[in-house]
Amino acid sequence: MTPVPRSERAPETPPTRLRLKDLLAEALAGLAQRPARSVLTMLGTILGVGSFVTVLGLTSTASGQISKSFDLLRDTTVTINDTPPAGTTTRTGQLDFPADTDARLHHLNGVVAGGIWWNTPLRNPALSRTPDRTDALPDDGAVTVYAASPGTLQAMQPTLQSGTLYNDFHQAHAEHVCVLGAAAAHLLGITRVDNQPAVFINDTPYTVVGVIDDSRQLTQALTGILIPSSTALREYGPPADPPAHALIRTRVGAAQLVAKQAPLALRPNQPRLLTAVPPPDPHHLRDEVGTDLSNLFLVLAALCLAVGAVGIANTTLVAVMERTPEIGLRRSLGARPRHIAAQFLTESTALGLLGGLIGTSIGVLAVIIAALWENWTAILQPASVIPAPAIGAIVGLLAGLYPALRAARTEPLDALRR
Amino acid sequence: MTTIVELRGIGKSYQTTPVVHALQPVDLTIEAGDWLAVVGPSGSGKSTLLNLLGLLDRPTQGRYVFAGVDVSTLGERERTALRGRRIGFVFQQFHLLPHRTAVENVALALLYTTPSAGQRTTAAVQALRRVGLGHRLHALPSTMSGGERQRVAIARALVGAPDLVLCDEPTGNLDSANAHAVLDVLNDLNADGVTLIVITHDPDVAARARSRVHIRDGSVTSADPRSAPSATTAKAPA
Repeated sequence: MTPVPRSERAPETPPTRLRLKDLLAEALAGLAQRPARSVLTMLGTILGVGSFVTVLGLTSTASGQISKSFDLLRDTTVTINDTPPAGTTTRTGQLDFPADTDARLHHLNGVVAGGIWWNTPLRNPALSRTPDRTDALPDDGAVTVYAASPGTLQAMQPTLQSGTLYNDFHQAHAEHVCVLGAAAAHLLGITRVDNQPAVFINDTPYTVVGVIDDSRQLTQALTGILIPSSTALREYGPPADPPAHALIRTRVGAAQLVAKQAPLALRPNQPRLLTAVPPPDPHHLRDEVGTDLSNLFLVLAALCLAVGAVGIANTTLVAVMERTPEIGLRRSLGARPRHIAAQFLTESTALGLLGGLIGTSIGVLAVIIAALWENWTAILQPASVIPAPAIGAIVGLLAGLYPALRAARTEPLDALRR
Repeated sequence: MTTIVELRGIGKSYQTTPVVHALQPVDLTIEAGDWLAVVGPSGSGKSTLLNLLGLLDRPTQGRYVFAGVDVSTLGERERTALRGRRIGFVFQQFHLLPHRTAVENVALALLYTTPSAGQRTTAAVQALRRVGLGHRLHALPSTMSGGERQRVAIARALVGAPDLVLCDEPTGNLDSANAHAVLDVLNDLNADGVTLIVITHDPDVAARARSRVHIRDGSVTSADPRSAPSATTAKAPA
């Protein structure tokens, strides 16, 4: 080794420097020398970032399942009530649905079937199979008479036990026909319709065209008698209370749109007389589930991160005190206070980043395992997974500020005497 | 001959009541190639002198010209630069980083002055060979004897080719065999032209030096014609 001659030296001694590469190498060497302590220090950050990723991952995965296995029946059903939205106008007391409700609904894109129905305003009607009321049903209101347009019958998605449903012809001519629910048919003792039995409602005969076994909507009709709404309107007048409803079955995904359009299509002059009840918006539902689930756990994750920050701050501070002689040595070797601060800050940030990376990996793994366990599709939002390690790094950076400042202020003189 | 160190009335006192004079004003001149021993019992102020010489501390009075630069007027950045590039330190406690090999410990001395890691390692290997540790390049301090550790520390002080090497009790933690080995190394270095200042309370160490000053109760008394004693009267701190 040859000492550099004085003459070749710059007249001004250039300031000392610490290159970024060397800074990183020094910081990582500092961490690698105490691996057990480094891992323990990272624990809080690992837990915090891990739970952060797990919570967000599980939330998005769970909401993904909700939208996947959504209720097909509920999501294709729209109800329209003959009641104005609360606080606007009072009820008219009239039937606000037009006579051609079925046709108007059918013209809407996305509607499979739809019609109106209501409880006829008959009080304890006499129901019997014969005109002389000898076998009349007991006066206990067990069987209700419903007015229902043919579209309503379609929208109910009924299963026929026997016979058929009445149709637009019966509706147009206000025919005296009826469809019985299975329970009502049993009470009335009607088992077959091919012999064209009749039911007498207050002595008016109605031909039974069909008996329905089951239905997916309007299941109360299974204990009742359904007659065409036009017939009911002519014979018994408009519905009193409860008011009339429209039942609409839509194609998948069309419910929201149909709910918006139907009141306008039915009452272009006064759409506000009708209230459409769409199924719950799936997006809305998902958000609700998301916030419910995650808020508590995100608070816990934040707590973990805070604990992690304190852990890193504590360990870095201990390291600063422990390594005081090293700080003094580095100062004697030409390190400026900022070089010392940068080294410790880099160490704490690297600890945080490493903890964040491990935590993110554990979180992703936890989400995948949970999804496999439940037979779900794991859904991880890149927006929550990718910045997660950075959260750890920020925690480490903040935690390292005070220890680094203390290290930078260490007097080399005192440090070397230790 | 080039003057490396020129102290003119350098002193250090602490503004307590009563005022403590850690070092009475001292005049001292050290030429390139010198080997000066500062001898005194513990608490005599020799550490204060070393810290002032090594730019680790600022004097409260006097003027210090280091290698032609008046360092009394310099800011911390320039003082750190001089310390890092032109002064080497050897400490009694060695101050080697425990988890780093000999080469890594020596190369650390160039971390803040030499950007290339390759150059740092090459220079470190050369410095270790120069102190006779060419066979222990990748040994960890925990596997070395005290003498070997101190030779690593000397190599670290040398590796930047400093104008001055300051040794603070270099044999204080060593047995006599190891102390001799270390002193032999210092002998060789000085023979090669390295300027040394060794602070010690050990007369045997001092005997190896070319010149000696004695220090007691903060006052330097010369035992050598080349370093004149300062006025022994204490000046009031400025």
